[in-house]
Amino acid sequence: MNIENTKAQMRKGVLEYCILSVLNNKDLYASEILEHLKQAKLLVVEGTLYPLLTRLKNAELLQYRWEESTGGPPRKYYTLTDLGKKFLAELDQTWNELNQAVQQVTQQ
Amino acid sequence: MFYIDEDAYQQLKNYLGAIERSLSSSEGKEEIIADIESRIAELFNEKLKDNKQVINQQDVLSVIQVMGEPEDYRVDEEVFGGDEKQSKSNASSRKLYRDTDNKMLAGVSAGLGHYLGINKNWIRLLFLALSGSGGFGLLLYAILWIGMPEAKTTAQKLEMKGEPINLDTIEKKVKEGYQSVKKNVEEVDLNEVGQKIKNEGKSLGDALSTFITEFFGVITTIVKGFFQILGKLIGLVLITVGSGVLIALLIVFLFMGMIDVHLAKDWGFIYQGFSDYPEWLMHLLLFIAVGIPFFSLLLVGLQMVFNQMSKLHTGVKVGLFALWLLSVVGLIGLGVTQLNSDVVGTQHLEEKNMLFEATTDTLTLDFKRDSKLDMLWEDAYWQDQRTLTPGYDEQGNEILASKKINLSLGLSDTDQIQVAVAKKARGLRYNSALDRAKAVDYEWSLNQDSLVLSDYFTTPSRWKNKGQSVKIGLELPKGTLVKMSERSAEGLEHFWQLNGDRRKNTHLWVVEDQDQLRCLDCE
Repeated sequence: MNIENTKAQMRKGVLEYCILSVLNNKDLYASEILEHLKQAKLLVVEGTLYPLLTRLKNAELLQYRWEESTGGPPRKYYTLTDLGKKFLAELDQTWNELNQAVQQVTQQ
Repeated sequence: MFYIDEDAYQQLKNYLGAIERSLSSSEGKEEIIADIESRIAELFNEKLKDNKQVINQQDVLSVIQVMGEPEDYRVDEEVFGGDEKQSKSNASSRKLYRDTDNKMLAGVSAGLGHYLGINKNWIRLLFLALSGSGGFGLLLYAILWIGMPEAKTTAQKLEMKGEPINLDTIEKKVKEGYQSVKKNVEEVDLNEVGQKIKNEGKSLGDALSTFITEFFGVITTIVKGFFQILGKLIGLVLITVGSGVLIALLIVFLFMGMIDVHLAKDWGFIYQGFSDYPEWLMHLLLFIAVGIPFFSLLLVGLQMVFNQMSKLHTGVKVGLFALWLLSVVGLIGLGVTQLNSDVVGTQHLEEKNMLFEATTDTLTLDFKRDSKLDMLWEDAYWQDQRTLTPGYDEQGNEILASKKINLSLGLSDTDQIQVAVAKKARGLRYNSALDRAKAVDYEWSLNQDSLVLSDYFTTPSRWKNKGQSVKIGLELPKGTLVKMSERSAEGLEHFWQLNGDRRKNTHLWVVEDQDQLRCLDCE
């Protein structure tokens, strides 16, 4: 059992939830999402994000629109779909429950 | 838009290619790649802010560090890919790469081994077998070599060694193939097709050029290998010859040391020797002179077979060479002195006279034999009693014995019996020759009315083949009566003409002439 692997998997397990949460308040493009996640140290390398975004988009939890940017390539701004919002609400609930459960178990 | 240098471009291309391959199973792969590309572009833009114009390899490396290795893209799929059953197993299915880490030639067999889950050596054997039957294997190998990409990145190596192929993954592969075909048909775009052909043409060119460089690399490896094997074979031969001769020499050398006189009589040709010097010195010099060259042969052989063998210290080498030179010079010196040692021949004379009334008195003559020495000569290998033959005297000292005796009968001018015994020997100088002559031990006696001679002489064993011999000159007045035993007559007939039948026990002889006796009482 590799401790680094376990840590990475725990982090990655909540990544999808976190991406949806970050996008709940505001539409963001990939680099901004990355900033949030990296600040929280949820991500070690950026590459991990892209397959996730695509997966979420394919699951119709996200959608994106192109916006021109000043002095750079056009950006993809991601936003939550209705389905995504429902999904997020459910995940919020699950997370809280899970959080409580974990705390209860680990603090015993 | 930015400028990117050639190496950095290649690296970036490889990186994106690796990511693409590691994402092979996910839907929307192109989209992910596009997103990644735009993110990379963004990162490059940041780098170019401070007056920098060109993206170099350093920049690409730092970007890769930020973005993560291709594996990082894939592990995520494994974690999150639960809703796509097949993707899980497929993500880690094997890909066909050349395994250049375990290569013999170009890693084709090793790569195929990973792909098929077979030990690479079986595949190599198969290639060899196919090559043996008409060169088909070689062609196949070359084609695969061109066709199979080399596993360069960690991701590729992981893919190469992935999980065994099972029904799931095969099914998935088929589906995937179908989907990509469908997709391609749907998105036919002439431009894109043109681009693709161009790209493929380029990559084929690349493949060919890498193939050619690798091909020549392989040729040199083969040639090198051939000479290495040849070298090892030669080395083995050298080791065999060197050690064989050394062992043989050692045995002979040790054996020589053990040879004593008794053994030596059967080995006369060796024991006879030709040296005044101690035998062991000769043998030692011979051993060194012959042994050192073969020893160096052995060393060279060992070095050829085992490359890691440390070479001899130069001092040791020089020492060995000096020792060899010394022994050769010594041998030559011995040989020269030996050749010269027989130059001077001399004799040591012992004389005795005795007044004798020839017509009335009778001289009793006995030619004495030594039965012990006779037995020795019977056993001797070469049977020639005139050669110096090794044996022991009564005191147990080593001696050499010989019957090289010359006995001549002359007529005396006077009334006296004259006996002159000349012991002869040769040597390097007069003195040494005389010493050897004096050392010849010959027993004889003349007293009153009898002369007793030995039919052999002995000499110390340290002087071999020094031309030792004994010459006896016996002068008797004419008409002297000589009485001799049958045995004496037998011995003496080698030297004298004995007229008459001497088969009866004891006869009386009369001196008639030079070397001539006549039997008086023979029938």
